[in-house]
Amino acid sequence: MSVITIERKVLEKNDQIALRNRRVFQEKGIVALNLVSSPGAGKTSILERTFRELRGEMKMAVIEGDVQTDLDAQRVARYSVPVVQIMTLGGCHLEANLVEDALKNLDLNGMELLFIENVGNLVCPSGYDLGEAMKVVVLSTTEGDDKPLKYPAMIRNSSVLILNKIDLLPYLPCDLDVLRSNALTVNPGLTVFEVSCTTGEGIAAWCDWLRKKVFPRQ
Amino acid sequence: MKAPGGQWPRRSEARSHPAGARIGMRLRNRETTRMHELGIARNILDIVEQSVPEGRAASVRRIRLRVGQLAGIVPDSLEFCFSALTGERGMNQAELAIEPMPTVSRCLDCRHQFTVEDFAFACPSCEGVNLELVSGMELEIVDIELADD
Repeated sequence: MSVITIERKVLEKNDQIALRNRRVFQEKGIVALNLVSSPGAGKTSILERTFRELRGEMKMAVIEGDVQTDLDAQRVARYSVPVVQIMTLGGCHLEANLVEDALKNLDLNGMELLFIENVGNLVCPSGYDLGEAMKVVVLSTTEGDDKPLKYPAMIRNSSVLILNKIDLLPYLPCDLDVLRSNALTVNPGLTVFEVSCTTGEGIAAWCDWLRKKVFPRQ
Repeated sequence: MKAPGGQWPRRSEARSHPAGARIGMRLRNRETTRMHELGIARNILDIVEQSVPEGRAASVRRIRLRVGQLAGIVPDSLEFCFSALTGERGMNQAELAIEPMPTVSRCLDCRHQFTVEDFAFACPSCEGVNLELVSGMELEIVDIELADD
């Protein structure tokens, strides 16, 4: 038997492309956020609320990742935000090369904020760097307060947590304090927002945070 | 489920929607990875092919892989996908040896290094939460074992 020592990262190809994407974002001054959640947690609804609040203030764009259909792209296009839809056709997550391709189809000049809406999945997308500044994970109250402990890798790899559907709390056995503290146990550095896309509660705080990210000197 | 011709078509079509605005572009994934462990298994075999001497693929017996607890990999799924692909790569006797890596953190306040239990990211010594990750995110090929000719 002979042994060849390799010591290579399995996702090195993805990481190289992610680095290229990150350089593009830095050169163009674009804040890129990778939006992750389980299916139906409200990523697209949060984008819609965000566009209503921030349109006219900054130049935004979206890369939509879905297994099938361009329904999400249709939803966000209503807000006159440039959008590119990636259909993964079965793929459970976005990879850096798909984002690189999508970027070729967006006008990056003057763009200030780019949302990359990942495929709804709390497992696979956590391992794939797309070149984003940070991951924003959305959890909804209907999923239950134990989810941060069941999907720790995603929580740990994210910088921001949006807790959505807080308007439904009176009808659910979900304890918001438990949900928040479970998330902060796994990742004490998380910035947490509690929102309802139905009532609009909490959206202003999230949008203020976005303003500070995009215009740090103001 | 591949399109005729073997490649996924790249679609670039502007499509109008009810409100009249336009969707800039729709892209389709050219290579499907239905389960992400399948894509990982492919990446592993690509790297192995690049690393073994020409003509020695059939001699590959064992590929040692480090998988961190936070890497988002299900070892059983990865082994299943790997075994499904070795045949078409001419590596029928290759096995995957997965070394699970625990989550290890170092406290930036008191420098204490510890294994994170139950994903509770707080220093057991000073209760600090200002931590750096030492291990847990690995997804690396360590080495490849080849049978002698």
